Amino acid sequence: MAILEAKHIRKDYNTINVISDLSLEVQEGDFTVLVGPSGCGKSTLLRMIAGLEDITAGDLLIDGRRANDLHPRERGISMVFQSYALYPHMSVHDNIGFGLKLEGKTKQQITEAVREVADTLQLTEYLDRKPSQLSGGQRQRVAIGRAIVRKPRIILFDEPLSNLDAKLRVEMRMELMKFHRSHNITTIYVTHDQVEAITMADRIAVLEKGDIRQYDTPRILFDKPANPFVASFIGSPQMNLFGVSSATDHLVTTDENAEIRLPDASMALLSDAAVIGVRPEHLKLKTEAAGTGLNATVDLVENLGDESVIHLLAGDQRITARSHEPVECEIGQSVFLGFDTNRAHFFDDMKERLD
Amino acid sequence: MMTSVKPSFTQSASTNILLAVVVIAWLSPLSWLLMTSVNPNASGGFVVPTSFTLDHFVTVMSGTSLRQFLNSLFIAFTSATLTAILAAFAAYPFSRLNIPYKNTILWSLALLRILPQTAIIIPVFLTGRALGLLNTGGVILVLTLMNLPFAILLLKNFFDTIPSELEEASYMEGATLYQTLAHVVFPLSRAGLAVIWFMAFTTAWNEFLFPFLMLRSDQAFPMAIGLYAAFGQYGATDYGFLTSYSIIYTAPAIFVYFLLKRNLTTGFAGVGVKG
Repeated sequence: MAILEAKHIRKDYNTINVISDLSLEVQEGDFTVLVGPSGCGKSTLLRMIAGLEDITAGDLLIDGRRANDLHPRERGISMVFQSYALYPHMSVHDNIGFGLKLEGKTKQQITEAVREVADTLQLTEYLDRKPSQLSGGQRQRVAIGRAIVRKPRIILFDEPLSNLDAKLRVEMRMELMKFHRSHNITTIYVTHDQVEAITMADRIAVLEKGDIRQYDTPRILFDKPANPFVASFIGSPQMNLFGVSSATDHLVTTDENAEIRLPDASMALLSDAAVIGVRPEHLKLKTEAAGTGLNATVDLVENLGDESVIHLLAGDQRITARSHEPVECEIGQSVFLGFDTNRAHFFDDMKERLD
Repeated sequence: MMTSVKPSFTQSASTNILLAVVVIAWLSPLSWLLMTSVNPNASGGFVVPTSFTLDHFVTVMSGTSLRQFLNSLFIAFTSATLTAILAAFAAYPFSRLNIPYKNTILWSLALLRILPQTAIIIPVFLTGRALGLLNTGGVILVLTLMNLPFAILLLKNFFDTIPSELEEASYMEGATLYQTLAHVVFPLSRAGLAVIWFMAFTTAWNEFLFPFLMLRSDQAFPMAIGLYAAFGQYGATDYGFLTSYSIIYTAPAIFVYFLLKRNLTTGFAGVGVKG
């Protein structure tokens, strides 16, 4: 069942339009990630769901009820902020219990509720500490504790890992996933990091310029990106995208003057394709031209230990290939990059996927 | 060859003499005050007392002078508290709302405070007379108004350092604006509010001109005017009384300073919120 529905949402700041017509359905219990480059409107959307921003037009339904004009408290939503926004002058206990205090709960009720939450988050021994005396991980747990103590239907996260160093980020990511699995609260999570999105989400909404470009499971986003934007945004290193400028039976010339050989000239998809995408890991380095592929020159080899990332040039086209096997090539060497057309992605001139 | 780094006798002697002169210059008025205040036979001279008494202090803490001490406390305390409260509620919107030309407005107000006070005594007096405010209430009002511009400017900058995410978090938890102010913003601004309160308190405590202008009876005078009026009272100058009066006059400012010292150090450094 959809617990949250956004229908034709629009957001203007004075005369500037940030989101023009956005619709989204979030299923109960799902971990939904809103991902996109900065300025794509993901945080604005989250803040509208939270009730921190007015919705210019459209409807926001929570549990089937119109929530546009409801106070955040009445929406059954709580939020974990980027900086965690813990009250620095209050103890962990008071931070978690603040919302309950505002609701007019008695001291005993607050203490019981705070203890229960602290137990599940392993915070019991820190209840008397101030936020400044906690580690990054403990602070995140306090922020989560504060968010769940009022038993919300939906919990929102606004880039909670972006201030952390790489190691802590991985740990916190795992903690968040465990937390979601054990509590199963519907979660909407904003990030600009596609790795975070892919590893954590049940479903991902990829946003660009205030619009959802694709909304699906991480697997489908990766295997069948709906458009070149999603194709290039999901996956690291980025998918190689070739703009088709002219195509004959056996040869595609790209906008950047690379030439792709296509022995399989009968491909129906190709006649409509305006953009061809190939993931770096699907490009195979060969010394001799054979099958589908293109000639390129090695520009740079990054050896990452378990894998190598090879940067190449074909015409003016920059290409990235990735190999899990040791690569024997030198800078300046000419190679042939073969790929399987079944693993390539084709998009038409409206930037829609061809299948 | 070793060069001695130890200063020669002449060098150290001349340094010590110079320092002694500075110390005497600094301390002689203060030591004169202290010595005269406990001297039962106080005269105007710089005399080390041969016997000790606290009678002068007892005299000051009774009768009209006690009344004046309490007047000073009342005026300074009320004016400081009013300033802190009004500045807090005025500075918050200046910090959080997009008021056009807000910095220009704030600095123009501060400019008013920079003008010499003496330049406005006539309008203040005439307005006070017209409104029936030539009394303690009027003095408190004028001192509060004089303190407000800088207080608002300082507090606004202090509020700017409090991240708005904290307020949003409290809003999300169901707090009204006043609850957010009471539970989040003001507690976090304790240091800033303490600075404002202290500055307003000392300004009001030290103020001479406006109470002198607006108050008429020695029963209503604060200590600053009381001390002035006590010169030559009762025919002769009572130095013992005047010096102990002066010492008591300085005491509350020093007391308040130590009371707020911890807050003042963080407050002046403009430390807001961390972590």
